[in-house]
Amino acid sequence: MRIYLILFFSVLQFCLFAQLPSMDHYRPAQSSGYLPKDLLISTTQRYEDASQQIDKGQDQQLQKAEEEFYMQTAYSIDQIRFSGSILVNDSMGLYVNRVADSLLAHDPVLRSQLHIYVLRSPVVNAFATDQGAIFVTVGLLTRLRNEAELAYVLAHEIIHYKRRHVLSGYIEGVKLKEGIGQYEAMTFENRFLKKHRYARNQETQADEEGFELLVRSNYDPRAAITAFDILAAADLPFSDTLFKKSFFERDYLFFPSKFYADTVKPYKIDDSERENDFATHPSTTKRKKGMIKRFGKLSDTTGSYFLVSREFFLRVKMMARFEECFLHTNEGNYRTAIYMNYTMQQLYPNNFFLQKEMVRAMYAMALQKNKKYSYEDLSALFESLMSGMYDLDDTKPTGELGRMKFYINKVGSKGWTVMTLKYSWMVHRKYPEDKDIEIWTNSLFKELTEKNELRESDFEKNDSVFVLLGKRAAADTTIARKMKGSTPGLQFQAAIDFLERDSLEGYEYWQFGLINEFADSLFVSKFRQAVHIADSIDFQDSLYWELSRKERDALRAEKENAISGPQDIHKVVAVNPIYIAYDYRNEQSEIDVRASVRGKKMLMSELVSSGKMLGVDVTLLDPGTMDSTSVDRFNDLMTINDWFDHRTEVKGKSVLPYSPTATDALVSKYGTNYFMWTAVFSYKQKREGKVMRILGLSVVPLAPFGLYKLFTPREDVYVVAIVYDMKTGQAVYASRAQMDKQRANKERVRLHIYDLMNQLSKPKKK
Amino acid sequence: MKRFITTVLFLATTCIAIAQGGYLGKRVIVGAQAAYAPRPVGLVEFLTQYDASGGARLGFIVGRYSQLDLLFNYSNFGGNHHFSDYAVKQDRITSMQFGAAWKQFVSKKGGLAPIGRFWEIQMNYGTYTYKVDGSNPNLLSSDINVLGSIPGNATALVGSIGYGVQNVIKDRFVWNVGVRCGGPLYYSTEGNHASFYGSRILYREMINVFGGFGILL
Repeated sequence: MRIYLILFFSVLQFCLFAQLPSMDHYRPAQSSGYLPKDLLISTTQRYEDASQQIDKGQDQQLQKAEEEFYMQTAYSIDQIRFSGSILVNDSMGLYVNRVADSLLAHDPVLRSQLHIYVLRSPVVNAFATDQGAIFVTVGLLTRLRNEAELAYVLAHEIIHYKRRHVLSGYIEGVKLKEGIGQYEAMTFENRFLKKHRYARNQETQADEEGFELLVRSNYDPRAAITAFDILAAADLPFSDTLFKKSFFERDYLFFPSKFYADTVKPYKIDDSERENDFATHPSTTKRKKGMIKRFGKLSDTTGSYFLVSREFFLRVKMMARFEECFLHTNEGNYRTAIYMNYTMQQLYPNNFFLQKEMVRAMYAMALQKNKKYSYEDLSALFESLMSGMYDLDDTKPTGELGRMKFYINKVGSKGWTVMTLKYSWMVHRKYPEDKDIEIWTNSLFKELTEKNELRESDFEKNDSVFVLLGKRAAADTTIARKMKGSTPGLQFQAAIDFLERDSLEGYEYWQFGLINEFADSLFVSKFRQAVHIADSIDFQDSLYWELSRKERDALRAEKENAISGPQDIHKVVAVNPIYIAYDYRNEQSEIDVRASVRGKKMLMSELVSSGKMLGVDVTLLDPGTMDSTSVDRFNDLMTINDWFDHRTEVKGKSVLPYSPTATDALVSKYGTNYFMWTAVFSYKQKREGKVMRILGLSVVPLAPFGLYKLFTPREDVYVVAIVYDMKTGQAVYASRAQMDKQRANKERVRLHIYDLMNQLSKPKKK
Repeated sequence: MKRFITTVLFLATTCIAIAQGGYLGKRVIVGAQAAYAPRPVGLVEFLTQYDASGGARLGFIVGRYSQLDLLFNYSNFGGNHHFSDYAVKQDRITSMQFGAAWKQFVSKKGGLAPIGRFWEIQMNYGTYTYKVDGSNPNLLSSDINVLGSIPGNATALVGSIGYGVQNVIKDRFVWNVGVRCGGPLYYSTEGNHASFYGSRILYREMINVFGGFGILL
């Protein structure tokens, strides 16, 4: 497998260097044109349309299951629609659709039933729904080597749709659970095995018929074999470019050699993919072998790797890779984002988008490194450790991505902040007109002076000490031999290697890192400005600690009350209100789709009507309120969702690693700084302690309560609202009502929404 | 009565003036309430005997989490029995109570006036009239004589704390249920039978289950 991977990456690099499309003006992908009808129809409509197909002659239990399936599918599609992850009429989507056109040129009816979209996700995946929507992720597009591979992936998904695999898989699950049909006389274990075999057979059928479709369309059938390499390497980065630390360590900034792992383990394919009785998919190796066999049986193996356009393909692939850098930062995978960006900068060394994204990812990483974990954050820290955010394998990382992660982990918070400021200052000086870079750079000064408490005197302003240390190292015969040049940088690096300590005779590595920058008067003035602010904050902090404990508690309580009290806000944008009704009594699905859909409709109408009653102008930003011409609002929703993800990821920071100019544009477009997220969650479950309740009926006064509880499920409700000032990035209002053992009736929700609007509209307390 | 009506009107207008929030802007509740008080003198009595009272209430939502109720209660108590009133019905106390209740909705449990769980403090001033049930054929004349010596009238200030839940249905109708505990804080009567009145009122107030309904205006 290793040889395949080496081949994979080599061919990939060759292809890339051979023809690189220009990406000078790349901007993050957005939707354009008209929104298609299938994205605009409501869950209920989607469900009603789909349930027309139900065969009324079949078993009633199966009919009910099919109905439930359509409801669940309609709801799932809605969730993707509301997430703002779908791209409509973007370049990548247009290309994927053109490939589908050429794949199904012989079957226009089938083609007309399909709606193919690109999903903004770095995960390598493609999937089809029973209603003809096929989603291809950005992550998949980054790994393709030719158009025919994409065609094969689409062909595979088209077969899933054509053969209605999603529906039949669901029905099979119901049959298994209820012991209907062939499962009637089987033990539970056998039923389970049979069900998984059924799922694997579906995959094999999609492989086989997808291959036939590919062959028929004149794409090169070899692509069906190589497409499995993409699947096998799905968890690996799209490139394994050698990480050179010289990318970060330049001028006078150096870190010890031990920060850079000399050797790395090669990538290996995850063995958990291997087929077993409980797997839903056959193993990738087995599928590939099956495909090679099918290929061997072909009489005519000719075909083209590109039917639409080779140039278009390369461009789309590069776009996807640029996009993936962006998406990794959005998703909080900062180390991966930095590495992906690094690999792309090897191909596009002076690309504005990449340099800006690198500043963003490094800045995000700096914020994370500078975060001081409080007691409350310990669980979050533990969670991030468990999630693999931190590579605990310190001795030998895996692959070049692992090497970079190892390096980033080793560099301390001060070092990283200096390194990031150095990089962002360079980019800022190159593109002084870009406001985002300027804001992030300014914020980095703040990180350096406030969080890391560094002052001008902490830095070396000239290279005299630097040269001295280097010369001293050079005087040592052992180290002198190691030196490969005579520049101060190399001498210093040699000195670091020689000393192999964390401090260099009282100096820290980062202290030399800004020698060149301190020669720039603008840099110095910005640094001094940040120091001035940091000093005043220190002063305020010291005043705070002079207060008595009681006074401090009162101050904290006042702050907490202020955020849930009157705000004097009269215009607000309600972003994608959420209503999810969970019903844990239902074993098929935990979400009661009907109640969720009804609830959401009610929630949206309550927001508007309560707002109207109390003088708050509420603009709903939700796909449910959009029409075909609302593409701008569809994009706005995407931007706001991204911003919100950052806000929740990076708490307590005023400047987020997200484009401030993009959010400023939203503020001026909607005429308000205030964007609101509201959610209602209700949970139904069986009550416990039935016996005690029956016994309790004998106590006459309590009998009516007992009877009520005996025949009704337990219900809990949560109503959550948070309003952000997008200008400052701070939450101005937050409320969370947790109502255990209370029904999620319309009146209860209505009251809370009314109260929300009342608090927003009322004048602030002085 | 004039003084009472004037006081109620004064309180009502003050409450409306300071009232905030409410259910979709509605802040006044007009309704009725009833209470069921089992007799806490023994297990059998607790399960079989009870006092009952009922009355009207005028509620005002006066804050985000608060509601003020003005109450009028009438009760006729004296040993009602679930299974047969024949056994114990020997005397009867009728009362008229006027008072106020402060309901504080529990914000930690998501309460907002007028919906949710609430704590309640109630104060009632009542006049009580005692009457022997001479129509009870099982009552011995000697008992009638003893009971007959109990003075006819008493007044008491009764306080209680309660916990309950209130809800709204169809945007207009309010209902609540809960449990209340309390007792007489002060009472006055004539003669040597003060403790008799005290304990009878205490039985009634010590624990009761209440329920009510109303209309939001």
